Amino acid sequence: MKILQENHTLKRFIVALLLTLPLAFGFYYTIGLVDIQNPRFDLIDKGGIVFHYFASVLLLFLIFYKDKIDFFRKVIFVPAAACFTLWFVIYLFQERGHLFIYTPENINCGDVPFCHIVIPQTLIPTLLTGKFIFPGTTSKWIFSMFGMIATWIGVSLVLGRGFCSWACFWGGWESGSASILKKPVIKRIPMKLKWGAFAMLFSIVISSLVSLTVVYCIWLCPFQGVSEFAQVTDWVTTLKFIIFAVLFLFLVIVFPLLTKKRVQCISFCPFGAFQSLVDKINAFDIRIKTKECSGCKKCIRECPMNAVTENSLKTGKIGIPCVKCGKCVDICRKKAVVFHLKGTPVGYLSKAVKVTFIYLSFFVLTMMLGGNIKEALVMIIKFLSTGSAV
Amino acid sequence: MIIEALLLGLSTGAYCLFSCAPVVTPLFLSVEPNRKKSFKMVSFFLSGRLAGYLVFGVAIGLAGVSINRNLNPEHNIFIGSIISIVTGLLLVLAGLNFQFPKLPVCRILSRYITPGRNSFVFGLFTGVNVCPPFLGAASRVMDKGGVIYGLVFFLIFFIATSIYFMPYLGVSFITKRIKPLKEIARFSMLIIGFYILVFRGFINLLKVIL
Repeated sequence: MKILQENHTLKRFIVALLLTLPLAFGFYYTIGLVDIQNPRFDLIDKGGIVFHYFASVLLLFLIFYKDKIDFFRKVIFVPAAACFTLWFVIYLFQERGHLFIYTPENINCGDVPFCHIVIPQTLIPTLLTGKFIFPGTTSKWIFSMFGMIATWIGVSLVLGRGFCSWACFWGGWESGSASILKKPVIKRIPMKLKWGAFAMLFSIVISSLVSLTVVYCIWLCPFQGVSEFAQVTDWVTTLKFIIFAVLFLFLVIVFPLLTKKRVQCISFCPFGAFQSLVDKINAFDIRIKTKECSGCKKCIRECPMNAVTENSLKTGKIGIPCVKCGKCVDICRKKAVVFHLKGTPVGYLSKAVKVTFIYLSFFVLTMMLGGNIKEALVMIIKFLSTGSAV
Repeated sequence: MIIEALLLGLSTGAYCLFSCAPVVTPLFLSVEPNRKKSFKMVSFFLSGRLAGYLVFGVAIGLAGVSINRNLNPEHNIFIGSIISIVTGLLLVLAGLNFQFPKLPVCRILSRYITPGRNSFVFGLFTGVNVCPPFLGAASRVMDKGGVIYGLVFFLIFFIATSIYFMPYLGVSFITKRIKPLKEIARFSMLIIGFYILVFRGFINLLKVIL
């Protein structure tokens, strides 16, 4: 028996290693290990690249070896949100010397970094008027409108709404808060809350179209609580600051902590709702093999997005808010929840589909969010060793 | 005069539709998908708009040039923000009524808030909203003066702009096919109502007062 178990473990180890190799080879080029001798990198930069490469390869190996997607996804996804904030704040200080948005200088020179949440509210006004209603930067690749839109199109084609759990640099805040407690304090949140995000999308698109301003960014974005914000100069900007802080505190920290659900993503984020619509063009979704399902309902309880419902167990279809985090796939004891290639029968080549999805999603995760962690760590070490983060 | 009012209405009607769309769209989408109900709601809404236009047409025609001289942008913002507060508040109340029908306040409200009455009231307030097309019509009437002139001008202006609202007659066609749209519209009433009430209403009002 022991020998059988050891053989099984060894087989799993070898399979995981073989599955990791192709992406490990790809990362060698994309993360920049190939270019490490470049004289523009100092020792800390080189250390950052090496760390980024080996941590990514190790996590990918562990996903295959332990057969756990969500846990190892969160190892990057959650710290990446805090690291992004840290890195972004330092970046802004380095570029501008302050964190304030909407100062006349920034607006006039179009220097405001562009975030993916802006996309749905600018799309229709831009198509109708031919003018972009956000003073986003075009000169710098990083945070530039073109860069972000290209990234969004690419990731949407590959992952659809999976963007929210594999590429969103804000999502880790909520995901982290929702992972702190072992059991939820508030056990049920209304299912119809998922339409809140769509209502927000509808409201901000129509309001932005009428006012030709980015209404969500100006008044409602919770993440302005942890990034650039309007300089508090009068009672209007004070009000804005209070709104951002309250929304961030309750929607991103308190409610996810108490419910173990990503409350802001489910009920408030217009970009999430937009991605659910964009998801139609993506090839992957998650399905339940109804015949193999034991009906334990663990997937319903554990889904951080309230996407799995009683109805899903009957029809095999997961609800529209699904962010393809893979939690339901991981926890199903009967292996009845599977990654599925649209247009094929449920369960068809499910292992191959799963591996393909992991390759694509993990590549996006490590290149976008893993890069944030590396950048933040490099900045911290530089600051500690030289006194300057730049 | 008729051609002038007609051309003004036709040329600015799309703008009218855009400025009313945040209020009107969720309102029409929030009811049960039924062709008769949609027709009734759009009719009530347009009646409200007509009533608003005519009252203003008469008032502006009566006051004429004297208002024209004394009106400044601050007055426009003041009137606009008061209308926004009322419209936003009504939208929030209507949204609350859908979301929490068992609340005591909503039970009382539901006696008074019916889709037909709602549409009429929203028509009235969006009609007198101080938007550029409305100001264009108002300034023309102010220049000329006269009750009859104001009445007829705004009547023609109303007919011309109403053409742009006709697509709303087909909302039941969409809500029948996309079931969640009704729920989304009901949530949107709360969000848009709150936005109009606070950001376009109270904040603009306080900016004028302070």
